[in-house]
Amino acid sequence: MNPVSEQTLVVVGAGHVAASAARALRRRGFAGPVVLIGDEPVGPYQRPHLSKERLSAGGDDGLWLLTPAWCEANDVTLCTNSTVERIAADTGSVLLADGSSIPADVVVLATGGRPRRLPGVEGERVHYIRTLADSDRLRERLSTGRRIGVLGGGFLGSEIAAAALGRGAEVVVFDRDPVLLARAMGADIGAALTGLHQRRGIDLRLGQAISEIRPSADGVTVVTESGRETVDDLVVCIGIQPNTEVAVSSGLVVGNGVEVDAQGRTSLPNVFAAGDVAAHDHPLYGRVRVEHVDVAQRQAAAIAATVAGRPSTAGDAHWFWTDQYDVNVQGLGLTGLRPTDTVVTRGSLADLDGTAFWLRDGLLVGGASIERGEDLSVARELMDLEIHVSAEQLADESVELEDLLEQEEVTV
Amino acid sequence: MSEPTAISPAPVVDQPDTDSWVHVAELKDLARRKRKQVTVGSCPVALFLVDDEVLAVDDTCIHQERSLAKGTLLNGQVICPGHQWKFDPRTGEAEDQDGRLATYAVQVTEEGAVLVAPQPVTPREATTSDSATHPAGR
Repeated sequence: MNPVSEQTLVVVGAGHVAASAARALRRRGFAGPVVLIGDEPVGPYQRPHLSKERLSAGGDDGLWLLTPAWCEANDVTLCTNSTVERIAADTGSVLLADGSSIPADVVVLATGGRPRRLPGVEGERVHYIRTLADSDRLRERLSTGRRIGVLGGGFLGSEIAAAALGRGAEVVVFDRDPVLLARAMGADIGAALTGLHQRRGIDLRLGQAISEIRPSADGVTVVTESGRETVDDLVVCIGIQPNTEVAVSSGLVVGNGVEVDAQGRTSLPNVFAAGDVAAHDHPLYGRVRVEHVDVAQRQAAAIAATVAGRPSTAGDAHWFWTDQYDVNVQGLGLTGLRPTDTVVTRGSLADLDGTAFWLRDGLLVGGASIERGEDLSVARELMDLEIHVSAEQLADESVELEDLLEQEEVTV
Repeated sequence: MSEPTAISPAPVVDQPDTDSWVHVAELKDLARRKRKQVTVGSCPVALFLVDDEVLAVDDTCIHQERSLAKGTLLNGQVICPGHQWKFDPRTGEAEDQDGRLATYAVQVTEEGAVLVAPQPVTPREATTSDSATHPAGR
């Protein structure tokens, strides 16, 4: 019998990491009990839906990541409404806030993050979006004739703006940056998506510092250098901070997140961490904490493989997507870009049909596409195989990207 | 990684009624890009040329209705442009996801005409809430 088969694995945090780890553990033949502990009243769900499908239309089509029937059939126990205090590695247990404890041979810490809050910006008309309950509360406010402010034009803010507009609300987006999403996706894609939001009818208040936000019973007033704007509700989307309390109480090494090695191991050998809370030592990028669901899932899958006896690292180039209105946008490898990398455009980003590639020393290091995910499928292969490409080839639409894969023999 | 099932679309299995085969393309149309979107009845079908064999599956991804013929064929796998879901065009199965694409029987005549049987060999199955990764359906 596999010597690890009798171990109990506990995941602290019942989100994407928990669901992916549970599935991968069973797929890999891990035979011991698996316990998922979360502080929300529900089990793992698709967090990306909270600013997209769920916010736009409600309903739970495709929302849940694990069904009770699957958990039962696979000896996976889900504990909801449960707050973990700390991991007691010396006694091999996880201690809960209610005084109880759960035996654990291996722990995966996946406590995620919580929205960054602005002091004093609270109340009935202010929203911070992280949980299903947050999204449902906001959806009730998104209706025809209501004026909704969104503070922060990143992924979350821009998706929420699109969903709010789709529900008939008027939407005002405030950001200090002059261009939406430029920091995450580069200036050209940022400009293209800013244009998209503008054409759809979002009122953009960009490039202006916010000097004051005053919530009141009748609305929320946002003061910028060019004046004041009062909205019915304000959604604050200014990033998250990792939930590191359990890690700190457990004596783990914590910096900007819980520090883990390439395999996902923390400073304690039987404790791993993944997802938004983990500052991963990535083989390509060095130590970095990222907040993308695909990354969380790949980290969870690698940890599951390692725990099940096949040591693995999550070393893939980071990938993410965002859907804005009916426009699909994806990024690959953007974590590792440097200012000195050469940008090459294929197609037309401004027309929402193109890809930006980043080159370094003749090798592709990243790509970002609007409505051209197929370019990134090939880009990933070009990056993985370290095939030399030229800016001219990438920009020339008469060159099939797939043909570039065949221009060099791959030595195995 | 899901195990392939015993069901796979074998071209020309029990010779369905030859009158019902639909002439959808020429083999030479697949030579360069190795993929093509065609219509069988009213159903969009994607053809892929893999190791000199023409394979036919639903063109519409089970995830968010993107066209797979617009996607990428790499190492015998079809990658959807929408959210990078991967499919085996022989079985229609999605990698690490449940749900599958319908597969269709294909015949290539001596003249190089590509014929597709209108009824799937294996049916389409929607992805469900059991899926471990990206959003399922809008």
